[in-house]
Amino acid sequence: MGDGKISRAGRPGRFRVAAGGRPAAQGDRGWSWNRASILVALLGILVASCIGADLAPVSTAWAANPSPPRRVLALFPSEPADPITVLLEQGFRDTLQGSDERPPPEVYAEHLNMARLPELALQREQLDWLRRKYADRPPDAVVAFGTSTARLMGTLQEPLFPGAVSVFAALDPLLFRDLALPPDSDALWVHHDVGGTLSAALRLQPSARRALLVAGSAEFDQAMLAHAREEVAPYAGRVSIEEVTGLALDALVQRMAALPPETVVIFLSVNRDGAGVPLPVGEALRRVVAAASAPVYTNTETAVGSGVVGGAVTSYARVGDAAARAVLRRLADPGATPVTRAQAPAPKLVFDWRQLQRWDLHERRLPPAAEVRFKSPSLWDQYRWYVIGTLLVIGTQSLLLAVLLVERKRRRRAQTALKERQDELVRVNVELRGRTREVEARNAQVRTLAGKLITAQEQERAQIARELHDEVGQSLTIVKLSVDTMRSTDDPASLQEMIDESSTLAGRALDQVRDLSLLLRPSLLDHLGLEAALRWLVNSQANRVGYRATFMTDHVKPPPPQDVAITCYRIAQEALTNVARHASARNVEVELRAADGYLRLMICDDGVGFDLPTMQARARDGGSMGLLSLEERARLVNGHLAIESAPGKGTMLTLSLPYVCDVSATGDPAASAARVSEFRDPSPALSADWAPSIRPTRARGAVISGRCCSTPGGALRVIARRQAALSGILPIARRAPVARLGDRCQGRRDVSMCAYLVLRWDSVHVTRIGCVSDSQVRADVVGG
Amino acid sequence: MSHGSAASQTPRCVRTLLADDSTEFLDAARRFLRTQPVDIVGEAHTGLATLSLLQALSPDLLLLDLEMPELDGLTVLRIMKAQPNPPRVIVVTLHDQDEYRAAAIEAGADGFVAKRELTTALAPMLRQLFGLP
Repeated sequence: MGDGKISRAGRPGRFRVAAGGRPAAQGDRGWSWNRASILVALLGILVASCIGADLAPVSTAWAANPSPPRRVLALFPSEPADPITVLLEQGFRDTLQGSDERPPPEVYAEHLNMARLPELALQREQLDWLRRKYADRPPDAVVAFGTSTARLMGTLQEPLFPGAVSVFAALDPLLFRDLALPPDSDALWVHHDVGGTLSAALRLQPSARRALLVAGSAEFDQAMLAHAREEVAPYAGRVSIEEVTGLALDALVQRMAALPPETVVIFLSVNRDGAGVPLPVGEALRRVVAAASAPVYTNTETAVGSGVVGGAVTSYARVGDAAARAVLRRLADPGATPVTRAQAPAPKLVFDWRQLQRWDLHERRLPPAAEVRFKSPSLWDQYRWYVIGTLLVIGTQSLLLAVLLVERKRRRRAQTALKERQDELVRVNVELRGRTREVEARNAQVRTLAGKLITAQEQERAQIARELHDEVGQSLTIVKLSVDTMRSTDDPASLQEMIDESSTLAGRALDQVRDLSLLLRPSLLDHLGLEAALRWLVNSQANRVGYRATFMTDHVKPPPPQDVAITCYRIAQEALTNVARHASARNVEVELRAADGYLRLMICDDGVGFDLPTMQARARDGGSMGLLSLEERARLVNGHLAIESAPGKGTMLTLSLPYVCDVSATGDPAASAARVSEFRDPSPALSADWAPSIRPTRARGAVISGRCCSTPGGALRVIARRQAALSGILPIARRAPVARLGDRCQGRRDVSMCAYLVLRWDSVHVTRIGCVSDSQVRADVVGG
Repeated sequence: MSHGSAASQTPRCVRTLLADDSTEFLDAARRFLRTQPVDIVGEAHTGLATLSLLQALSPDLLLLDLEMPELDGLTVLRIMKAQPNPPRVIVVTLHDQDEYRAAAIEAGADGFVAKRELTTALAPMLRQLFGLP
């Protein structure tokens, strides 16, 4: 390799673009950093070889075409696999193939391998060989890439292919200041954007206080340093610019290892160290980035990936593209003016993500157009869809599982509820059957009882009829016969005898009628109440049968309702009849008491008793109706009958009948007066001795008796309670059920009425009585 | 009329009110009472009528049946005995049980006579009550 030429290094794959040996790619790592790029490059080579090898028949096919494709010959200074060459060729081919020209130009690439053939004579022989190679198909355009290719072409006395358009691309201005190119050639230059690199570095390191420009001692190194000096001049106010040059490699490395962190290192080019030792391509950069204690930047695209952070690099793809566009422009218009100082393509900001991480530089500080390479995908990026898929599967499974669990729980609950319902149904069913059996048995009992009752009623009627006819009728017949006979009898002795006999027979008939009457319905019960009736019943039965009887009571007040009283009486009557018939008792005790809302009747005897279970069984089977009829009677008034007995132990019968004791109608005059006086009408017109009496009647009514005097329009207010409620004003002598005017009240100007007011409604309990009037009222009540 | 005056002045005739719902019995009783030193001043067939006539007539004696419409005899007895200066009352009834007798006396009756014994028992009672010969 020589100065100012694109030259090959000692090993294949390593090359330097410029004199001074600025490395474009450093070491093997430079090859391996981007497998994708290599793949693309290989693909490009494949495509290129295909085009080179196989386009001949295509061009032959187009030969018949009146407009054959243009031929473009591209000359590259290095070998096909050189990274920069790959980028250049790719950009060049892409643009030509994608152009509007039809048919598309045919591209022929020739790689001169100038590093392997450093001798100028050999290089020129290559050109001669190319002349011969393309003699029968001379290209329409020749593009020479690289500074060394341009220098070689410049040594030719005549054009390589006369008449062909000539374009020189990728020319480094640092090496070609004195270069003379053919006058009709286009010249495309590259630009080393050191200023852009420093600008990007300062964005990443805002706290940086100084910038180091690292350069070697070779001619290109110094040219680059001089160029950089101009580029970074605008930043001198912000950071201190320091040049590091003229150091031997080891010293340079030591210097790099001792840098403070707030430093920006821009590696320009070190092809030869300060000691004058030439360095292999990439050697200096490799050692510098390995030792540096501060981030190292560069503006060479192919160095990104070898340890530098990055920078504003020349995009060789864009250079290729620019060359292709120049060719197209010239082919389209052969008379166009050549462009000898075309503006270099815009540099590209390229950074190494790994170095950003290493130096803890934030990617977000980079300009939006910056390209970040080698960004290793995070676990999330790598396995995102696996994770999402797995989570979705797990979530779906969990959901299904939850649904199944809920369903199972619901089903179990429903099953439990169903089981409970079934159990309940079974229980209810059993209970219902039991109840049904009870009801059926009871119905049977009731039917039997009804039949027996009808029979008993008929027997009783037959007996009454027989007694009336045979006894009473017989007696009355004899009386009538005697009276009739008296008419025609004059004998005083006979007359007296018949009179005596008639009186005796009439008395006997009276006795019989009275007994029958009492049997059917004891008038005592209606007139004197339950206690008197029971006392009479007990005593008369005892006299007739011959046992000793005791009747005890605590004077039940108020009298029990009629149905309760008659039930109690009939049960006592039946029980005492049973005692008389079966018990052979010597002593009988009957007790009547009222307590706790119940009227209790107890009948005890010291007779022979009986086996109660046997008797109950007989009653159920319809054999003995006495017990059953007693129980039925008690049940009719919601009462209860209990019998205790055993053979030889006597019998005790206890009857309990519901009985509400109402003190408002106790019949006790003192209590009534006290109660009524509480409600005394406050009217001053009432006399001081107003003391109406309220006395209960046996018909459960109340008699309010008294003499009320009032002026016309006055009224006797009776506030009464009839079961639930009854109250009202009863005008005297009008709506009162019974009212009489009294004589004593008449004739007095202030008195118009005097009444006995008698209320006889059933179930009426008078709680208040008073006189009201809009004028004079005077009233007093007399009562028993 | 007071008990005291009845004892000191022997009336020639006792002013008597009959109260019974049976007209047949009233007829028979009237016939019998003609033989007695009483003057029948009125007859009532119901309890309330009895009370009214008592107020209107102020008799010396009331022969009172126990079973009457509207008001029974015992109630009438209690009401009238609660008033000032009540007449003497002899209960005359078909019921000859001791319980009736006790109830009548308790209610204030001055005498109790079973109807079947009226002809024999009334005269001694009148003599006892009114000092009749």
